Amino acid sequence: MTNDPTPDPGRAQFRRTLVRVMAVQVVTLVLLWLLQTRYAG
Amino acid sequence: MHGLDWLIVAVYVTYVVVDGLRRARGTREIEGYFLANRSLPWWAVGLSVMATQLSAVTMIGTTGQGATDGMRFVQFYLGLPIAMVILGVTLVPFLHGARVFTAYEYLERRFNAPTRSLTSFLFLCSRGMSCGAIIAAPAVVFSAVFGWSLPGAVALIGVPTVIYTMIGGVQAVTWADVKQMVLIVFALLAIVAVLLFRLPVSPDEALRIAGATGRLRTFDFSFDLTQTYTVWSGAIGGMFLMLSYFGTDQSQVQRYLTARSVPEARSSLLMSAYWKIPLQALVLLVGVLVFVFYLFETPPLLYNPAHEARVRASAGAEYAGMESRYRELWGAREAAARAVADAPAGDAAGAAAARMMLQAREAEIGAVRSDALALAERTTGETSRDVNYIIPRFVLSHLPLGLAGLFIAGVLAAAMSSIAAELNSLSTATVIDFYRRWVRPTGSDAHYLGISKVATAFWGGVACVVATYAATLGSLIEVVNRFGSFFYGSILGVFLLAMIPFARGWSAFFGMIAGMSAVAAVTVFAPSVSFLWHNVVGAFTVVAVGLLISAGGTRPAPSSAGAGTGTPA
Repeated sequence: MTNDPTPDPGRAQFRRTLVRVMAVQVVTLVLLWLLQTRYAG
Repeated sequence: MHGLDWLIVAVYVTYVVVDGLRRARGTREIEGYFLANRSLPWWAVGLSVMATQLSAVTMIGTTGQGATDGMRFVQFYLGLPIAMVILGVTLVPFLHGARVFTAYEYLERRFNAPTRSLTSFLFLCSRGMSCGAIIAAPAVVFSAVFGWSLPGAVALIGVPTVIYTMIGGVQAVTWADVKQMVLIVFALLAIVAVLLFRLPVSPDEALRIAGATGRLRTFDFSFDLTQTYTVWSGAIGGMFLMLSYFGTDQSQVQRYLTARSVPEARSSLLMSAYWKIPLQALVLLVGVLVFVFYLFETPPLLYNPAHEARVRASAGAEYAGMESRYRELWGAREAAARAVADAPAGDAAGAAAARMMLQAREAEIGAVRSDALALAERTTGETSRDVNYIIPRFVLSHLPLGLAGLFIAGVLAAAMSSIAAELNSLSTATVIDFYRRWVRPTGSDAHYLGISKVATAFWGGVACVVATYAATLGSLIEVVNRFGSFFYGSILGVFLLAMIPFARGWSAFFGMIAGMSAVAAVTVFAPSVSFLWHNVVGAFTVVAVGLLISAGGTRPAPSSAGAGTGTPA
């Protein structure tokens, strides 16, 4: 957490993108995991 | 292949070359030729990064690997998203902000000229050879499938690429990459659609069959250093490999140095972080579905048509016997696959029995295939690599008119995009790190531009020659990969060291020598350790030795620690 009144917009955008990237990875890996547990036994 | 398919391939190759020449207009200085005047949008750079990494080997070899080995290769890329995020906050701001042409140029500012020259030299050796290997892989397949001479296949792939890269520079490379990436994804999705349409079972049943043979087993959590593909080797070793590849390899660094700004350069890398694992899963899934397809459609015993013809000619009787046994077993395997598909949902015991039966039939067929591959290797004297022919053979025999041409154009696109990026970066490192640094530091832009084009043509020639020999020597591609793994981690270690303010002068140079020696020691004394771990060993050794050497000397002058202080040098 920071008390800086003017947060760096580049950093905020990067954080948002990071969250999205990780969300896509989690969804993909969960799908692959489901594929494995449902079909590969 | 039908005339229409060839027309699609010809139109595509012509379009890429002509568009490359068109984009060359207005490029009068080397910043435009090598870095597009740092003016490209993030999405074009991001697609170029992805296209560079996705070579013809991915289109042919990885899909084939999906057919024979299933989805587990995805684990190789588990570390990639994290690596991209780390690079986004560390090396990308440094390199982009430093306004350098090459990643190695930055090392001279941070350490000294020998460190820059050594890293750049290692890059030239490795990429010069690997560029040949990238041409060789599809050229060998095309030559076997279409009956072309090998030099002819190498020329078909290499010559148009060299022309548009040499004349158009990075602008041509990047915009061609964008088109190529679109074509590749479209071709893959088209194949998935055709497969789903042509399979005699539903998608759910197809996945059940693939799962029964273990091909949907993606994750392996065992901590076994000798296994190449596990969750841990991919997440840790793979992360170091990706950090090294995307952070220090000029063929990748140059892509994001062309972005308009640091945020755009970061975003371009994050595009790979977004899409690499889903795309790789799609590539492998194509292979898995082709495997299921061939459970219901008689497959050839040997997929390589050239080897098949030679084996028939010189060991016809033995091969005919194997084929007869293969057909018989294929029929039994088809019946077992149908039993898996038809097993009632509530009958767990029946489903398990059907799965075991399919696995047994699969093992029997695998044994006959192994015998046939051994016969092919004995007869031809060449390593089989039959896995690389599964997808091309399927495409040419079973895809509808037009789609086969689209796929072949996609393979060419994948090869050309990787080769073009490598030639462009080889030329950049040659001119910026050696010619301008050591031979002629005060030339005009027009002079350097001319030299850059000559350097591109030179490396194109080297790559084509290496490609011709790589194909006949067989194991050269493996040598190239092993050679690369010797120093990839060590180069990453140098860049990590650059971010530590305490590190100085010769510490990086000697640290790198120590890192490569450590990897060599691991290779000799623990040869079973997977190569992905070499990157971890190399990087840690460089940092440790570099810090020790720095600690043994005097403190660095303030001006030499720009990177460590958070200010791009």
